[in-house]
Amino acid sequence: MAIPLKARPVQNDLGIVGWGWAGRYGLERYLYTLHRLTGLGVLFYLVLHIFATSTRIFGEPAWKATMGFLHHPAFRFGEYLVFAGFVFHALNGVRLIFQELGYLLGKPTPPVFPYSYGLRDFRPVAFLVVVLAVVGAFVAFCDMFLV
Amino acid sequence: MKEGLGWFFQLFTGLFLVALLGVHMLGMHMDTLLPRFGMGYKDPLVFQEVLKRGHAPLFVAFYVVFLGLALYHGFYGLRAVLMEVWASSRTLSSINMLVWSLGLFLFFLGTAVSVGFFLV
Ligand code: HEM
Ligand code: HEM
Repeated sequence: MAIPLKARPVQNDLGIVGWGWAGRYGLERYLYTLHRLTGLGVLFYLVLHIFATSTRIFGEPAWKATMGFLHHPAFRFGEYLVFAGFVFHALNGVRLIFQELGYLLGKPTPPVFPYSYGLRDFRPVAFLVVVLAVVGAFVAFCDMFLV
Repeated sequence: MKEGLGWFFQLFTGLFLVALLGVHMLGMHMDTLLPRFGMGYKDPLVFQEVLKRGHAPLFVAFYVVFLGLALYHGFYGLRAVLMEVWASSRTLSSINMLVWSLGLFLFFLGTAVSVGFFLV
């Protein structure tokens, strides 16, 4: 069913392209995209991880071979990305859990001008998530590449 | 399963994963900075350490619970993404089948490895 793109409602039907851009997104919407990417990334890692760590059942030589293989700089960098992604996903996830259950949004008010927006009123929480995630990623960077 | 319950359980597992995965990542990954402050492992990935953990009943229990929660949370999330990308009632049952079979397979594999390693 090829509906011409122009005939569709733009906001909701851009598919994967819409993850990145579909109009004027606020900070929280980009955090959502990043939350999705990091979640899928960590899940992908988990699947490989279950296979990789299962080699321990074949004894020390098999384990050493696996670890030797994973010592390649590409995998080390991948492991760093997993850590940084996890830190962001966990922090933003805790924010989402609160806000999806109705906390950290303020009290509902009647729609009388000047309007109050729950998410926007609590934007410092979103900023805090970003700052803490950057700090966490930096500490992990030091742990892995500098010290 | 009721849709809302499955979602609530994803949030719930997320909270638990903060603790479980947090401990796992700090112990396994932050092996340079933490030992300097007298915490964590120095060489968590050498086989002797893997063996020690693998023969501690608490670690085995930890891994099986952790494995189950992480797989549920992650595959429920993948399901949500796929449902959005292929939004149609025809694809839903294929998506459900895909995430359940992959998730259960990985859960049994990981459990067998953890328990098997404990027993040898
Ligand atoms: C990136 C740094 C990571 C390192 C270095 C690491 C290391 C390890 C190692 C060595 C084991 C084997 C058990 C043991 O030695 O005690 C293990 C098991 C496990 N890890 Fe990780 N891990 C990492 C990240 C993760 C992440 C991000 C997840 C979850 C999404 C995860 C989930 C698990 C699970 C579920 C097991 C148990 C597997 C089984 O039952 O066979 N790990 N990890
Ligand atoms: C560390 C603790 C974690 C917390 C607090 C957390 C929290 C959350 C929350 C609140 C959501 C959104 C649910 C919703 O849309 O209502 C979510 C989605 C997701 N999570 Fe996690 N999570 C954690 C760890 C993980 C891990 C280990 C994985 C991978 C195995 C993962 C994979 C995903 C995926 C794939 C999604 C779906 C993203 C989407 O729908 O856009 N998460 N997480």
